[in-house]
Amino acid sequence: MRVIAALGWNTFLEAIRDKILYLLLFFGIFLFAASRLLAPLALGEGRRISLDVGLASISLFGCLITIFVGHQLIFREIDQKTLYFVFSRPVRRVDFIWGKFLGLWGILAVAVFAMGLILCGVLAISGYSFGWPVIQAIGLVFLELTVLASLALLIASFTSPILAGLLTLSAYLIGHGSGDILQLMESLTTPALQSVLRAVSWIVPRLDLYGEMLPVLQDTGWTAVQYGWGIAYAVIYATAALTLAGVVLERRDFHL
Amino acid sequence: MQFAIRLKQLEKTYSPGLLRRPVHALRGLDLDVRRDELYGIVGLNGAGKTTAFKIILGLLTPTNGGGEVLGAPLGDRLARARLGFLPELPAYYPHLDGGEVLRFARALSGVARDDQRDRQILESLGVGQAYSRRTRKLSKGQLQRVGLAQAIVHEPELLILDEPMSGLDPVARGLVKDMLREQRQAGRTVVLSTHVLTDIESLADRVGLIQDGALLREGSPRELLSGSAREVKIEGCGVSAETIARTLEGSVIAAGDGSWAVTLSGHAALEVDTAIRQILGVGGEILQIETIREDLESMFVRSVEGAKECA
Repeated sequence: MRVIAALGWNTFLEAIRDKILYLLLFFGIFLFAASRLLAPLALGEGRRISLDVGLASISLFGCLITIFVGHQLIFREIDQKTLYFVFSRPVRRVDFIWGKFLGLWGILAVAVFAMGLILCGVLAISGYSFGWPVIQAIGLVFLELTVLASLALLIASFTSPILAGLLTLSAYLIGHGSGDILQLMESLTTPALQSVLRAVSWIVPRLDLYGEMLPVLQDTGWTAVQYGWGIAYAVIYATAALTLAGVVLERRDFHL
Repeated sequence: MQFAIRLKQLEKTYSPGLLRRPVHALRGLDLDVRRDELYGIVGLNGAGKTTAFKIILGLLTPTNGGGEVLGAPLGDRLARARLGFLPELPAYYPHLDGGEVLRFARALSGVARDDQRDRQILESLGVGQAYSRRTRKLSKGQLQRVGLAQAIVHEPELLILDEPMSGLDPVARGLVKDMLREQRQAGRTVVLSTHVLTDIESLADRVGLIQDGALLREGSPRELLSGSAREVKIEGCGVSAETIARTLEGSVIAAGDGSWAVTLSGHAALEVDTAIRQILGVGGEILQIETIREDLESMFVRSVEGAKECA
């Protein structure tokens, strides 16, 4: 556990000292400002616009952080030959993956927290109500990014950085439409096609679980059971993806 | 006898792609490193030294063969806790300073944090200032010594150092050699590869010459050089240089004062007694005899060239 914590802290420190994170936060702030500009055009739907744009921005910029930081986490260690430093010590490859994930998770937590604060600030300045459902929604975006980060690391464990970035972005886009895949599967009559779609639905992350806006717009919030399912899915998916990434890395030769 | 490293018929073949020929980095390498010795590995670039180190660490899996490191299978995780490694061209996280690198190394090795000791180690290697300086701002020589510090910070039983003298100025080389002697005296096994053969000659208990992924020769520097070519220079007087030139097989240089010097090499250098008798037999007087031995570097070059000719 100490090894994972040390690897996680190093990953976190590296990203925090990297200017790309600040650049993405800057864009987050920029987009929130855009939501303020759009609000007067929304004909009484200003709160909805602010929440829609704000939460979508947190999700999108969180996704970009995951891609920009996540896809390089393993490649950079190989490229800079720092893997020698890690693997000449008693570090399991699966621990290395968990450490990297922990660092990325910490970066996302800081970024989501900062962007969430800005969203709440924008809502407060605009005079719109915000309460527990908004905080719940921000938490769900964080869970969504947890799933995406684990998938990004799995992809990065076996492919090049550019391909890893593209595949992670694709997974993010398809993941938001994964509910539609399931609906399509139910409407199909061909068993073979149903099986294919079922297999796809197991691989593609169910990010649509975290994108439902109604409870936050109506200020009703999510029930504990709904939220619990969201947490359980994130934990199970991330554990499976990271374990698989560890297995992939274990079988890999490092020609540094 | 206990061994720190045992490699048996180790083979590694890289397959670069469908249209490229496979590269045989190791071709049945046998290597035994005894506990508590300082073992030097010498070889040309591409001889297979770094590949062997990577297999020992578990970064690569051998195509064939196997071995042990500290009594455990190659690449064993727990054995890695007991070894320290310095890679060739060491690279450390550029966002960390020297102190943070050593702290990180300790954490990964499961050793308690000790900032004071870390400072001491860096100072003993002449890079105390690196403690609070980011590694991206360090020179190659400074980085090399931070690399040595991270390799010994957890007090390992076995040190594997790939080109530890690379990029170091003479003063730094002296400090590193002192550090290696200290490690050796503390009962640690040290395996180092280097191109600076004069260093290895003065440091190593035994030396292994690797060529084309296999062990070419092995022994203590004295053993390796005992049968090696040498030259014998005899200075004398009493007879003319021309007489000596007619009597002996060797190059003769006449001095202005009637004295001369003859240099015997190859087979003739091994027959010094005969040469002395012949000089005395023609009425010569011997002033001085000097044996010039081949150093490890020339022996290495000769061995490698010999192996190429045989191939």
